[in-house]
Amino acid sequence: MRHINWRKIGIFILALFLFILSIQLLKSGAKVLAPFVGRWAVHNAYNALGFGWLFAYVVLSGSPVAATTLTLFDAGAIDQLSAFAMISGSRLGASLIVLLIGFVYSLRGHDRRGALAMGLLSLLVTAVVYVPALGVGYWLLQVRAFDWLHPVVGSEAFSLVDMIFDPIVGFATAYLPRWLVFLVGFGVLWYSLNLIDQALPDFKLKESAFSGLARLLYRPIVTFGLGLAVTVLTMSVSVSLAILVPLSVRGYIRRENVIPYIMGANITTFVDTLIAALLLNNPPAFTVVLVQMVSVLCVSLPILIFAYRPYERVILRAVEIIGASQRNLAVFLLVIFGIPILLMCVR
Amino acid sequence: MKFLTCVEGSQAADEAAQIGEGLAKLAGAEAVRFRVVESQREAERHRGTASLLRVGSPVQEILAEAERGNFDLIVIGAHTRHRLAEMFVGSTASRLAKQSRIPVLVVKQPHQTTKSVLVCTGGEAPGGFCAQWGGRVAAWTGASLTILHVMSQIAFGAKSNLDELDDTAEEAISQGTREGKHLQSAVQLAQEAGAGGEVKTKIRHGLVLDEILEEVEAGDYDLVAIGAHYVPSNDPLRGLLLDDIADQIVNQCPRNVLVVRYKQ
Repeated sequence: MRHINWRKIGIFILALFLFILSIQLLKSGAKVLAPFVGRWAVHNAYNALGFGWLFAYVVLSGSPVAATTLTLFDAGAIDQLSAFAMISGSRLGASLIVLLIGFVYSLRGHDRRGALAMGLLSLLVTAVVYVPALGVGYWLLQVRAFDWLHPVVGSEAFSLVDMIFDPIVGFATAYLPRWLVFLVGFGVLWYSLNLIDQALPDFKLKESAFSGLARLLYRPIVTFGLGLAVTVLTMSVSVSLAILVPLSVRGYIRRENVIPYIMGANITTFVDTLIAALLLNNPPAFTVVLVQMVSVLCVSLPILIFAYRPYERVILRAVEIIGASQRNLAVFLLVIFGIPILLMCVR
Repeated sequence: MKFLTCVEGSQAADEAAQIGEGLAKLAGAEAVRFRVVESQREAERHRGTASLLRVGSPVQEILAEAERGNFDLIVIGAHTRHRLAEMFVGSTASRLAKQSRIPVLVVKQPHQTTKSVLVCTGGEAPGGFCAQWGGRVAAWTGASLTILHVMSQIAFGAKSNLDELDDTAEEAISQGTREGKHLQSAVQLAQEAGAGGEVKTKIRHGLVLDEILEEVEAGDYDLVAIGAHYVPSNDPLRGLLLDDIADQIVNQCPRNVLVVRYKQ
């Protein structure tokens, strides 16, 4: 009992409370925003993809964007395909934070290629999997492959949620305009996800605890499974990766291990979005998130099983080329900012 | 010392055995020709083609004989007559190199004299053990010796020392980094094992398998020695989790390969 960190448990309960509250606030605020989103920002799935992508850049995270997307879908602001595309966009933009951290290191005088490698790797691994996954997901949505799956959350649970959160949401909507309720909801969501990160136990593991996890070379499918499993608990790719770091005293991870780990983490990072869909009690929203996870899995597994070595080489070569000069990096940044902006312009 | 040289009736296997016998002569070791056949009838037919003849599964019989006879090295040709079977279950050499606690020399170029040896070390205990064997072979053959370490790590997190990731072998040794200390210790072990002349050190950066194969090509080495962890049959989980670079080198490297497995 001495080892139980009550402070962390307290933070986790608070984070959970705020997460549920944020979904209720977003749900309530999204209704009034629905016509504006449709008229001004998202006319089609291309716009939705670009919007999710840029939104993730702005907030430097994908999870709040994905959860917010579901509330917009729930309010009827966007259709199912657009919701799917927006969530995909949120993942494409989520890794920018890792690149920015590397960029700060390189400004401090560290070798640019080394400092940027991790960020570039995260962005490229995600892009190479998610872009084809868009096609797979589109098809799965068209054939309604998962429409039969409607997880049921007990009405007692929803009654309890309503009983606790309705007064708070009612208070907010009584005194604030709906668009502001939506913004407050987004702020609470962003904060609650950060609190969940803080609530995770400290992983002060020695290398021996995992037989040299960071030093040894593991089979790609093993690190893929590990990324998948660890991210179920952490719900964030960057936090999940950070857990590996203390295992290596010097903060190094092997190239061979990190790519499949990111591929695995990119799938289960949607666990919090799945919970958000359940909280919305909206089966089609649940289907969108499930299709997202299944389509990424459908692309990742064949790569791992049949073409992992060439894939790994191509990704690493691309990282090397992009980091080789400032001009290459500038072109890369132009591309990753230019594509979502262009997608927003498609009519 | 005792070397177990494996034959199976093909010319390639005979030539591989000759390499083993030549090495044994240089090392002052005893070489024993060993053959495994499938049936008692076949054993009668091939009596006299080897010093030792056993009936059974090649890999199991070779491993058993190597243990029983306290052999120090197993020498085997890369391919057998059964090329089609090799495609599905892997070659006898590859399976032997994977399962043997005793070092295995897989002969791919029987006509090549050993003038240069490349020792590949991962920076752990098997690397040191492998450097000793590389040193021995260099001493027997008079070959030059290079010790290679591949850094495949990339930095993640504030504590990462980015500068160390680009180190050459000389820089790593002079700065006393983890890799530098390991290379120095490997050089010492190789020299203590008899390697004469200068023992070169190298660090390459990139994917381990790709960098080793590129170095073999660039340096035109005749023999590649690689260390690996020995995974006992009662610990299949470790075998399932870890990527076996030694096995991939045996399958993909076009030169003779010495696999030295380290048992903790």
